[in-house]
Amino acid sequence: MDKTLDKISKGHYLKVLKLPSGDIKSQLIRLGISEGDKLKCSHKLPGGTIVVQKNRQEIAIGFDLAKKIKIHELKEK
Amino acid sequence: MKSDEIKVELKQINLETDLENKTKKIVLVGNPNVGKSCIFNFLSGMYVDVSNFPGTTVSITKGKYKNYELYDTPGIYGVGSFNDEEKVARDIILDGDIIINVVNALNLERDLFLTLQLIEMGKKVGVILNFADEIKKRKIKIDVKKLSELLGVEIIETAAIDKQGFDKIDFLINNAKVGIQNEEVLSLLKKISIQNIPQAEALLIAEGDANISSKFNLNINSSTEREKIYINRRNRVNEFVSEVEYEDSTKGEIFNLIGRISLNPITGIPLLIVMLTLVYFFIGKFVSQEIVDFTENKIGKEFFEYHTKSFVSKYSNTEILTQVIDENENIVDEKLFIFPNGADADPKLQNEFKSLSSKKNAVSEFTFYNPYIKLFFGEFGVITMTITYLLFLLFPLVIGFYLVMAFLEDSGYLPRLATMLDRAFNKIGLNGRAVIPIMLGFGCITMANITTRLLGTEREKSIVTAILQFVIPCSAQLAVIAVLLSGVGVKPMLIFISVIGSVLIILSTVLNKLLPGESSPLLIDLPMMRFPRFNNIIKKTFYRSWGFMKEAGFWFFIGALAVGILDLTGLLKLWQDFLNPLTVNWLKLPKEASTAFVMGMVRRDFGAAGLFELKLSAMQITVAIITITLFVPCIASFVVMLKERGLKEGLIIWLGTWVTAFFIGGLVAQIII
Repeated sequence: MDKTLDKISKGHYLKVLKLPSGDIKSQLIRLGISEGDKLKCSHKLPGGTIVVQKNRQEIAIGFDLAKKIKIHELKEK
Repeated sequence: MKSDEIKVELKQINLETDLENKTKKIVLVGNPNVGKSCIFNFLSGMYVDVSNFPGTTVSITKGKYKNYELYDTPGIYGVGSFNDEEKVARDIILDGDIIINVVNALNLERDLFLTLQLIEMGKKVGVILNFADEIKKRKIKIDVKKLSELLGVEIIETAAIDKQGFDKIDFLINNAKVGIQNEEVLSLLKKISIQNIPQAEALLIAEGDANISSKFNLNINSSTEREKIYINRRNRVNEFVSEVEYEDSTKGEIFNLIGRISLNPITGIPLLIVMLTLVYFFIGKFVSQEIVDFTENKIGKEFFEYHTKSFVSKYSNTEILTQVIDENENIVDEKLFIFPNGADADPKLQNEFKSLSSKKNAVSEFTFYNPYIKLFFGEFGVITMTITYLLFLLFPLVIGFYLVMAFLEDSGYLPRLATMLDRAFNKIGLNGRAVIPIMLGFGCITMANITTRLLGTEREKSIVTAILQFVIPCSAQLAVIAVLLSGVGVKPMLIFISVIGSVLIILSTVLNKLLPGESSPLLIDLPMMRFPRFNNIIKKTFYRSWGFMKEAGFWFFIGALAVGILDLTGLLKLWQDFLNPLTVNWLKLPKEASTAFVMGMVRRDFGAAGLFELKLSAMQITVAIITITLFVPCIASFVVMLKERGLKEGLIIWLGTWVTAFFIGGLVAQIII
């Protein structure tokens, strides 16, 4: 199911479809998040700040940025 | 003549040796928290030179290793110009001969991005794969030989914690080489390289680094190239990692209990409270009471100021009131010494003064009549007051605060705190990272003003700067508030907190609405929680505190000079007279309270001592602390704010605090008194 990252729930897996353009995209790519990557949502804080996990790395993404990241929710890993 | 000749000869010899051994530069580069500093310390030994990079709060560490100059750089995720750290690291890397890239073996996917970028810059690179011990513990296997083939550079494995593998670093330095270049990236660089630009600079220009392109007078906006290069690089990293890394354990599970506890607000907020309590006991009780009491009173006032002023009194028209006070603060002995022609002119009286003032618990108050002496050595003297304030009050406090920050930073707690508080900060147009300058503000607003540089956009810097000047009480002021609040019950404190809280919410909401543009969203890497290394914390604390003193110290002198001149010309008195009716009729406080406001411009705790003796009612105390909290920042933070934020914005904020302090303070007075 396609949605934006802010709609994911904790513990679910996702595939990144589209990142917002501009500097922020470059920063995401540097940290290891690029289009096509499979991630896990390891935390979802009240208010909507998302923490995603890629292998052994955790990255916190603010709510407003999460809203701009298009994802596909995966049924399993 | 002869000596001149020798000098010239010596100079020439020096020049020759300089040319012969033009020392090569080794630069240590890596992501944050990869153990770079540990390796730097091992290589550089004792000789280390730290300086602040011009125009930033970023410090660069320079040392010596054999015949090389060794540089440590701030932790970065890539070379570029996204923030100050990157710009500083970029310039050192561009200037370096050998790049030693420290990689966290646990986070290959993240760290190799930088490695590939360094290789694409055409620099001689050697890679240190750190945390080799952790890899084994977690049953992860990395095919180092294959990775080395893929990158085209040497790789050594180390475990920084017990210096395992450090003996191979020498081999790595001697065998650093240009790695395998990617054809696609090279072809993108070709059109830039034609113009005689080195490959490293060409790559950064292709990636859209405006600073570097302007250095070569190029005006190309090639951010589209950046995306191409970045995606290409990212794909190669992912490919490499899947080729060299095997995992035997369940994939990617992190067991990091404290990390989880600190993220989730249900457990994170109690943890934050526990932490803040500890910080309060450390800074609020230990540093600001025990240590500062000793340094400010014993060293600063009783030793430094007393001796300086006694010395000056020898030669200048001076009146000295010396009082001897017992344990119960009763005056047991008192004498006024008058030296119209300086103390040296009246040796008998001078001796009497010396013997009385050297008694235990003797306090001497010097009054100078020469206006210039007064300006530099008087009560608010540029030399006497500023040095006591800077070295003996502020310096210990700043060290205490930076120590706590370094601990929180290195333990991995700070990014989690920023994450947990992100949503709350979003409401006022900020992201979680703003917690850092605001926390520092409770120590010293001047220090926090400088730290606003780490925020992403001008808009965020403006909002945080305003919050700091308007509502955040610094440690000097908190001490005054604490004394005034003691013994008047809980009600004044509740009114105080809710009024200041409301001003914070209204101010930040209004600024968030008014200021154009958008704030940057939170995007941070959460490093593993770990117990910080003592050495690193001490080093960081020392360098930052020293950096702060170097950067802000001068402005404290300028501020004191400005106020001293206002005092001498009588303008200060005039201003106080103007504030008197406002204080009495609108704030409903005794007219002496206005001294606290005028003197508060100099130092936020100045003049407040006068409030202690005024016998104010509980509600008057409430009004007084609300007003002095909202009131203008001290003169040093005012000047530093002007420097950071510009004349216009600085003045608007400064005048805004005057208006707000008197308006809100008076409003509360009209309601509760």
